[in-house]
Amino acid sequence: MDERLKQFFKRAAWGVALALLFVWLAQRQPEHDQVVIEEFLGLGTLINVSVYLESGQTEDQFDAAMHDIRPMIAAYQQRWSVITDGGLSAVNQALAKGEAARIDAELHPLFARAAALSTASRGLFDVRVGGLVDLWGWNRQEAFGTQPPDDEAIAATLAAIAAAPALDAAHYGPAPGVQLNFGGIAKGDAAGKIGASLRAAGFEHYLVNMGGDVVARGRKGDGPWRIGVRHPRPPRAEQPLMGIVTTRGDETIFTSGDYERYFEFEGQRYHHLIDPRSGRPARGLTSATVITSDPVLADAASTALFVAGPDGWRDTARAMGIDQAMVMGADGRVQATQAFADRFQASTGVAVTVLP
Amino acid sequence: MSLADRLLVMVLFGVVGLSFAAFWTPGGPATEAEIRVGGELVATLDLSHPGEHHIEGHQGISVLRVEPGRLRFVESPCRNRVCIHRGWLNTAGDSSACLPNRVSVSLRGSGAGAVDAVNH
Repeated sequence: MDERLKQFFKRAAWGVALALLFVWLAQRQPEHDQVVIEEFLGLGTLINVSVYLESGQTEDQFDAAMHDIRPMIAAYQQRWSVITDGGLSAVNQALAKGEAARIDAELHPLFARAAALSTASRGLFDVRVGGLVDLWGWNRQEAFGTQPPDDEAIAATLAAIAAAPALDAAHYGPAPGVQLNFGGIAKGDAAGKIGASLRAAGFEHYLVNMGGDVVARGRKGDGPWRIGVRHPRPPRAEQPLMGIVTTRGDETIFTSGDYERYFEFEGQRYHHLIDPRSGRPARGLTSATVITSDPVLADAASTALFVAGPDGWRDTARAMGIDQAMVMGADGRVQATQAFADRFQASTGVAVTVLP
Repeated sequence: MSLADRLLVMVLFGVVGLSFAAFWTPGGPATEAEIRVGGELVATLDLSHPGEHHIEGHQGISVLRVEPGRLRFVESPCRNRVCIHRGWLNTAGDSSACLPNRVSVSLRGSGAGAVDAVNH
């Protein structure tokens, strides 16, 4: 055979071998055998806890930890629910009677956080919107509203909030016409508490998924945890994700979007993220995602950024100390901070613009 | 390097690049779905077998439709439709639930690109 032809085939063989190697590397499966998962319903959502077991740790130990976590979450739900009787309901009942409410000591820490986050977000995150949430019907798990409330009712509730005192940890009110709702912050707090319980039980590698909001720690064996971010308006059914984030140590990833809790009335979509300035669903964005180490901050900030809208999200992120954030506008454009864009693995067709 | 070598190198790079672009989508495909009622596993569905499954929840029947590689809630006794708004689920690691009916669905699979959770 011609020497040059032989060389050609030799190189071709090497090329094919290399290509096969890449394919094999890409297809390699991560370790799954050491990941244990438990799911349960709580806080009005599906809670999924995944733990990567280190050598010496057993599934029984995980089950024992979850055995303690489930009742803790049930008690937590009771405490912060606006429907069932608990600490927060008692506060709301006093406010409804026009009285000042004394806040139970166990509620103080989150009240203090809510007050600070409300200030940091310049009021875009506000737990005093409970009356608006009630008006729009987002509390009713059995059936959301089917049409927007009256303009007068919204105006009256907004006026009551405007006249009400700022949130305080020990006492609140009187604040006639105002109800408190911690739905924009409690999930983050609860996810953090589940994480703390897992750590106390000796688990250093976990993922807590609270109905799509994620608190992660450690790694999944030799790789990081991989979190997909849902596309608010998937261009194709086969591509439901905007992209992927791989976690780095202790991280919380929260997204607020308009695509699940909503109803439609006369062709218009009304979702659950209410702008405290207008009393109506915030317009301009379809989703807002933040990454930070503090789950309570992440929860409040994803809501505040969504409410801030396309022109305000960047400043709000700065004001709240969030340096990793991404939003999608109603026009489909995706914007992100530099720190978020640097690590985000966007899906094909998703173009991320950095806003410094 | 001869012209043929150069051509070959270009073709190989091209093939690798194009395959990557064509096959890499984040999120691995799900192969099965775990169905729970009130947190208790009641069924594991193979997503390669299309069909409809009627799951008895706390308030009534939730209907799940399976098509090759994907699944969705099509009917449920809830009125707020959160489960149905989720649409088709096809990514391993994704999940959805009909809270009023206490029925939840979690997709499993371990192919390339599978995620551990979907943020939504």
